[in-house]
Amino acid sequence: MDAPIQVHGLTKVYGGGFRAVDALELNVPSRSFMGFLGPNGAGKTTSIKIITNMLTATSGEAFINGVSVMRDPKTALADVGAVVETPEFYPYLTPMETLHYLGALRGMSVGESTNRGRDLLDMVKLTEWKDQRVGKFSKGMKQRLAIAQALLTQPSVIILDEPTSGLDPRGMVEVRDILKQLRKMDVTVLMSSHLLNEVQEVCTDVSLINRGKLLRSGSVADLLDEVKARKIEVKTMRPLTPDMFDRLRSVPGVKGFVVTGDLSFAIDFEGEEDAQARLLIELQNLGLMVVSFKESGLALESLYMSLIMESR
Amino acid sequence: MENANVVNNRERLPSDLQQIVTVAKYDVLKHLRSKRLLGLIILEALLLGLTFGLPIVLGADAAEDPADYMSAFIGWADILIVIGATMFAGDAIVSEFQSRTGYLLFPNPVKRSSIFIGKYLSTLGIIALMLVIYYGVAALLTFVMTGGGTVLALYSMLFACVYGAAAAALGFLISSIFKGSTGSLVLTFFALLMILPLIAQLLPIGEIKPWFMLTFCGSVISYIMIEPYPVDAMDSIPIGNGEFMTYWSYYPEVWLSLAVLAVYVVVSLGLGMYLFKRREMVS
Repeated sequence: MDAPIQVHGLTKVYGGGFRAVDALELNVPSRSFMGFLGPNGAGKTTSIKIITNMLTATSGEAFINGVSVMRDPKTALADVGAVVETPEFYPYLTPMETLHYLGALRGMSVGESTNRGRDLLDMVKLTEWKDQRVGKFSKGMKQRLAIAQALLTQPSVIILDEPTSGLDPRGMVEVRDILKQLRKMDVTVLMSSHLLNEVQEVCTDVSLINRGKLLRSGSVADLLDEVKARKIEVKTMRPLTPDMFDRLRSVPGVKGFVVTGDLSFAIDFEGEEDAQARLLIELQNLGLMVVSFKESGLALESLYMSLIMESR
Repeated sequence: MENANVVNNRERLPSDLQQIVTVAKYDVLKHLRSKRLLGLIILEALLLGLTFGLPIVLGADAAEDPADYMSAFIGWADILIVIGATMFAGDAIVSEFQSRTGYLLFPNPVKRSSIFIGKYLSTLGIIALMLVIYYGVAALLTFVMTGGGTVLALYSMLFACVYGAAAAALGFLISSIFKGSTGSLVLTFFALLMILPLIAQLLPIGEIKPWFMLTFCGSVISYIMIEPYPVDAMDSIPIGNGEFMTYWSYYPEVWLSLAVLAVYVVVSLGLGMYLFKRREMVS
């Protein structure tokens, strides 16, 4: 089956010659949750704005479900729900009226958008606010409403641009919970982010871009397998003393370590799960009394950083 | 699997015309809930009250002819149109970019041209509503004071609606060009209130009839109340030493003005829509 989102040779050159997107190639597999990763200014938002018809590409083309966004944006966007940047809402409308408006633009009757709207507002925890005007909503509430409107017509393609950006910790957790629910749905999601832990937590696939160019794309699992160096965080009952340092360094796979606290340290480690198991045994043999031993969620960060450095 | 029963979102997409109606409907709601409309209605009430009440309070003689009496109210109509066009059209387009609501609206499967036309129609509707209320109350007061009415007031109102359409179209064009709402509102207001009238005042000095100026055409609203309709005439004023300076008094012709206003609507909307379609949603 063709990828629901396909981007070929997409280029965007702004006035002054700044090349925000440079011959970008991107395929988002069907039913995947793809993280679109890159540092600030990498071209993520520009690409997403072109795909959602908010910017004009200098050259190249983007297709959604096989329809060119450039040639027929109305048809291309018919089955797409999008949250780009943090949209503002019409302050004179309530959340339910907003959903009625956007639903009507997509051919939903008031009854349909009311029923669907109830479910969605429940999902994004805005039910008690459904009849209040959006004008005084917090940024987190607006972001949740933005996600609700993106899901209104049960689109097969969802595009999210940094959906947790600018939210407080509670808002981030709430939005991430919604993102996890999206994973269970039969949809294809493209989500830009520069939060690696977020991508690693919710995405099945990832595309890394920098300076408008695609650096790497694939499933999160495959990309993580490429990362040889892992970081393992260890907490113990007894401190790691200097006399143990040499012995720890001599354990196969250990590339170095950093003491992070009286009873905690982090090990740079290369090796598969069996090697990790042997490391744990060695730590116990040192008499450290290991309380916890876990790979930190920064594996993707290692890959990300190495690719970004290579691309410079 | 939530999407197992997915409706074909493409097939149920409304036509462009249906989407225009939807945009217009919700934009009208915006105007109806806005403080701007309330402010304008209060202004209308003030103008009507003053025009009606002040002569009574001052003991001045009121015109007995309905057309003459009504003319006093209609004298304010063009300023109401200027304010209405400024408030409802002056930032209609730019606000989608500046207030970031475009991020919500533009990723939807709706053409920019449909959004533009829908918004324009809603503005037109609100300006027409504002004028109907004003003329309606003025006609009622005229009837109370003179015991009669005049069909000329109806012609004036219809022409006022056309002038309102042209002024709003100009507002939409300015709104499509500007990056900020304030600049767009200010330019729309001063263009209609000062800049265009000033040019229309200066052109006759060079014996050029300003038949092509928007605000000159708009003055038909008041002149249409005069019977017979005034025609261009050469006048003179004494400048001393027994000498006279001659000058032309130009009056807009009704049908020509109507055609000129229609051209303003078409050109302003065409240009505005072109700019809106090309405008990019950048932060």
